[in-house]
Amino acid sequence: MSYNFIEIFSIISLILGCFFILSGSLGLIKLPDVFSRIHAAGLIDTLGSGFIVLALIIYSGFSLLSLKLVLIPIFLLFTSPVTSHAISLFAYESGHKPKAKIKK
Amino acid sequence: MIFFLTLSILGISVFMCLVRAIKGPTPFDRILSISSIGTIIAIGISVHGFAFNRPDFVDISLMYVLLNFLGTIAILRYYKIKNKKTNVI
Amino acid sequence: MLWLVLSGYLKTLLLFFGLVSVLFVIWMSYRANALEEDSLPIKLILKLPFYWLWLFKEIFKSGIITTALIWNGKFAPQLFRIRASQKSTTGIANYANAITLTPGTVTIEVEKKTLLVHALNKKLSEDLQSEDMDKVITGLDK
Repeated sequence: MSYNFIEIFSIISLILGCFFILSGSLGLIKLPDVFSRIHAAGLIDTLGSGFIVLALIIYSGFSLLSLKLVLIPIFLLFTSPVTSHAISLFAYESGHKPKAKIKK
Repeated sequence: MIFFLTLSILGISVFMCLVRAIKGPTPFDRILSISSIGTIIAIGISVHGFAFNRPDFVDISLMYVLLNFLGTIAILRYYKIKNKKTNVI
Repeated sequence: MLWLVLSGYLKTLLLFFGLVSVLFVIWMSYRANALEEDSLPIKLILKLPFYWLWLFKEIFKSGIITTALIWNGKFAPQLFRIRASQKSTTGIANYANAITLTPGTVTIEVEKKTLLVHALNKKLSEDLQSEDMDKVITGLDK
């Protein structure tokens, strides 16, 4: 089995994306309250999807397909802050105070 | 071969999100983990398309991302209206 | 003036019809005086790729910190308010989006000029309070 340089780079990026997604969903289980779990979901949305799509782009070569692949993290990048901000705002307004140190 | 390994890891993390969706104390935990499951599945669809040499699945994945966003906002909005608070968004 | 030439689907040879429809929409909105002050100026478009590169670097840096925190198990969440020094509402929305997009910090509530931010660690909140991000986005606004 002989891999060339591009495939090795793609595999490294794929493994990195898998690691970020796995640690994000581990954080969804492990973290204590709602406002902390939002960070883990943001980790999945930005870094995990970004690295996996980067690996697919490198693997497929640069063509029209890679343009479509670029659109996936761009849409995620636009929509992910809106959802997490909406979830945190509604959770804050409906009375769930975060277990956190408040400082001015 | 590496794609199947990636798909299995994505499956494991979907199950880990599902644990939080089942036992989450507040409704917002459930909404958050359902949204994360949607994102992971949207990535998994495109990886699956590459694993079986059919890259047309990327279109479906792109549509899935947008529908996931709309679904999350719709559920939040419904929950807000049900609680008789002020409409913010 | 040309603020909707951003759609990215150059798919088939239907590109000509797309050009015609874009020109038609620009003509119609010019006729209806729908172009107001807050459309994208051209000077912003030149600055935008550098800002995106900087944002990717920032996301990567704080993502590594957040991952280490998750595997470590030592998190001390913090809640604080921060002032935004942008003039326009677009700048404030941009700033809040950038805060939320970097993993580890989430904007909870936006009042007039202050943002309520929830951070996962002390170092992340100190990074935010040193106001580097604020300066960059304020520089984007001019």
